[in-house]
Amino acid sequence: MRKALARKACVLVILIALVLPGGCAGPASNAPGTTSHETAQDSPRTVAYKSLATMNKTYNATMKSLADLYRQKLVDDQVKARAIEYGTVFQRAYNKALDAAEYDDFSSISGVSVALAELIDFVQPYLIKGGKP
Amino acid sequence: MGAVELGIAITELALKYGVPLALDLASTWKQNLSGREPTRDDFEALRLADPATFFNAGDHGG
Repeated sequence: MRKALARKACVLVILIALVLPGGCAGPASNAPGTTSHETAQDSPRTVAYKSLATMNKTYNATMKSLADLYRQKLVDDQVKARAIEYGTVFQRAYNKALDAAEYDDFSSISGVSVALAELIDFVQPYLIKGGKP
Repeated sequence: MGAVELGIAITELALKYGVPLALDLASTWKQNLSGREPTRDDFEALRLADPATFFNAGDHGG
């Protein structure tokens, strides 16, 4: 029962994380072509970009750190294999989220929803297995 | 591998990658893409590399 609730919570968190920047971040206050760096609120598309850029940089720093530890022989081949295994799951899920965010017309929900559906289909088996690839 | 060695290595990594990461993230959220909307190419540039490539750059070597 608790596991099922945890799975639902995970799916909900993922959906919120993806949908909030994409569609519900509030009205766009900086129109295209705006040059001000001090806009009070970024457009949903810009927020999506920055969110993905944050994940991108975090992933790169994490993988570089693990690779460094491996080169220093502080972690073994088993840890390396697990890092690659989990990293692959994250990379594929992230790239699917990127597919959704790449649609030029952000207000057109059809392409975005197809990509999100693919993302959920991809992530679902890992949630069912308790987050293990 | 001792716990002390690992602790030192993790501290080094925090300094090597953690600090630049924090600065990078702060700058990402502060800047506004020079005031324009992100394009498809901007998003495409964010695509992640295969995790194995990070390790292939240098193996244990024995």
